[in-house]
Amino acid sequence: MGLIVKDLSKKYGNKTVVDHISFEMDKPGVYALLGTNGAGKTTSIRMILDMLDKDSGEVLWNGKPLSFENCNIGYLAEERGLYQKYPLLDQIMYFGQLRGVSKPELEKKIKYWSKRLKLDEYLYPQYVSSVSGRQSTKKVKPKSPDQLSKGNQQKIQFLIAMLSDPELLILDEPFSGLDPVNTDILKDVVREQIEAGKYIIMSSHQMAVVEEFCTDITILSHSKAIVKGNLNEIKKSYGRVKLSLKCETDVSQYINDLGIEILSDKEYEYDLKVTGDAQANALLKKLVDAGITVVRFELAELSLHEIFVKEVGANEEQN
Amino acid sequence: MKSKTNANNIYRMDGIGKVFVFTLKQTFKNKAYLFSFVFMIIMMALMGPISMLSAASSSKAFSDSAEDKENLASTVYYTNDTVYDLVDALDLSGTSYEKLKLQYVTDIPELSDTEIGLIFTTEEKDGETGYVVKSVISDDSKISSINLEDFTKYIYGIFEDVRIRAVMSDDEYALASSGVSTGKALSEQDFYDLKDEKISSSQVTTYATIYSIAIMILVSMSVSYVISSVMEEKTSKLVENLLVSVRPLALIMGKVFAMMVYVVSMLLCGAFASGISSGISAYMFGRGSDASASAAEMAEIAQQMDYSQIFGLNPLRLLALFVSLIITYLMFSIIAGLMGSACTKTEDVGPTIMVLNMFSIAGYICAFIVPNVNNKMLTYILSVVPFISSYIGPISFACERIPFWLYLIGMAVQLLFILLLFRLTAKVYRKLLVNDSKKLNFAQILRLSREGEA
Repeated sequence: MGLIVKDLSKKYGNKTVVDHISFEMDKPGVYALLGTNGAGKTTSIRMILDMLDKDSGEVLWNGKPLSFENCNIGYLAEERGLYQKYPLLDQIMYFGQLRGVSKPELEKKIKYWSKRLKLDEYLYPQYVSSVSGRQSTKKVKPKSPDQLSKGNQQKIQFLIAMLSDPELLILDEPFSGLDPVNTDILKDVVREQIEAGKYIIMSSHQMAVVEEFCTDITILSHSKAIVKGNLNEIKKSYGRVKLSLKCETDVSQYINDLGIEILSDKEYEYDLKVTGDAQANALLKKLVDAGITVVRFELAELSLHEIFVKEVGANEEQN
Repeated sequence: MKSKTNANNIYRMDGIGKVFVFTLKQTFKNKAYLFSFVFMIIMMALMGPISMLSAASSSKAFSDSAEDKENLASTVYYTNDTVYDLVDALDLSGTSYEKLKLQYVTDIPELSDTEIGLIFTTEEKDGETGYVVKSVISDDSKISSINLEDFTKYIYGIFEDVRIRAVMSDDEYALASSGVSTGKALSEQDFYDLKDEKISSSQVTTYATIYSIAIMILVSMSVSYVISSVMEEKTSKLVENLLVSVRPLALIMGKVFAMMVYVVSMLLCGAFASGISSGISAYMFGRGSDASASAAEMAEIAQQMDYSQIFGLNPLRLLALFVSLIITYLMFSIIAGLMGSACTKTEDVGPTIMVLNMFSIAGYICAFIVPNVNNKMLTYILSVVPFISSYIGPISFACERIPFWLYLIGMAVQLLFILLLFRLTAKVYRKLLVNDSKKLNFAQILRLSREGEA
């Protein structure tokens, strides 16, 4: 059961913007849609949410076509926005009511999330100033959206997405434009949602963040899925080819003898690209046999960032 | 193969009430909208006193004119070479010239600048002899030529009356002078219509004016509000956030209905304020002016501007006009919403409003021309043609030019047209919402509904 995205395609005129994309989430977790700008991530998300007509394909939630009528969806769109002139609380209530949340329930949830996302000073300034003991004869008015920073507007939108306690959460570039403090706040919330067993689809350019949360990924390039599957399996398939080596003397001769590629070299610290475990072990044996002190020897898989660059780069060359 | 959109979903209206309430509430909370609302009410409330002041000023002009007649001249000398005795006839008491002193003389003396000489005589021209009434003033006279001309015509009328009476008995004179109105010129159609107790062409014009002006007012006031409201989601970039909670049709219709209610409530409040202010003004001006002439003049002005005669219509026909007005307003509002959804920038709004106003003017012109042409075939056909029928149908029915069943068919066609607009809106708005490229024109919108993409 869960979410099945099957064979999604979309063309604008003669240009294919999404080319037969499929993936599945059979259990809760985070699925990442990665890709360069214009690769088709947002179009795919819009088709998943039935905002755009699909040229082909279907999206099923627990075996039925996905719609907000049969699935409680929370969505943070890539295009951030709020009604600029309407009071913040009014519009948050409006969005919540459209999601079918009752007014008393909404009031509780808004208070909870505004505190959790550190937005209460914008939504409840009167309350915050009284708690902080600030004395003022003036009535403190809540800020209007156009007085908020982009980051805070983004947090408000995230709050809106969380109001209905969604079972499927779609986050399009959730961390872009946030400062480190707010990024950590949002990361904590995402972690909580994963623990709570939510299905999350995330699109992001920040590979380190994706790597932190995602179990499965699809990398899109030129509207096609060029890499797809479980993140650990994908990494394993590339093998352990990154060797970080630190010695007390120059060992470049030994490295060259084995035909290993030196990526960087700085005062006897080397970043090497090996063909696999066997070549790395051969180098280690040679160094030990030669009585060279090895300070660090770390064999690692490729990072997601490196896989992305490698695969997308190769695809760009082909196109 | 093209994947089908869930047809049940795109026409669903769940959440329309919430969109409507939120939009209306925020509209009234918005300072600019609130200002427009209050401003319009004040303007309409001022219309009562202003028209009263205008009527009072006209009434004053009327009084001034009466005063001019009374003080036209210090003395009027007259000579009479005709065979008729004019002494009794020239007794002007009880007329607007009653204060003038008329004095018979054998010859007109030298006139001062405030005196008039009247000459009743015979003249020969082209071999025929006829009577002439002449009035004379001095070269430096203070009497205006217009006033003198009016006076001369008046006296000539008296002379003519004397002349006719001289050859008729009293009975013959009474018969000749009664029941004849030379003030009304009737066309043949009007003659037969009146004979069959049908509505005259002037009434048709009045009803067409009232109906089409009401639509023009509603449309011209609403379209900019509807378009701005529909564009709001696009310009605020929160369309996608809304579309996971509400279907596009419910979103656009909730907003369109909210703006319709805003405009109608503004007009109703304005009309109410206008009624109250007119009542107060009538009371105040009525007490302040004494002249019966003023009342007569105001009645004359009221007669010229009397649109309330529409309430004299048969209740069924009045109801038909009212229902059609609402449906036509709805139709224009949906078209405005649809075209508004194709706008992406504020600069796109102006041309869109212009197009809609042109539609409204086209309807206005049709509403005037067709009922007055009064071609049965043309009226019948246009009463069932979508869009035009929203003007021709109700007016023709109200004026008894088409039967009730044809009006109902026209209404059914109109409702079907609105239903099609709903479906078009549902299909197109969904696609236009996430389209942030250049503004689309109406042809592109239609193509979008068929092909699926811009």
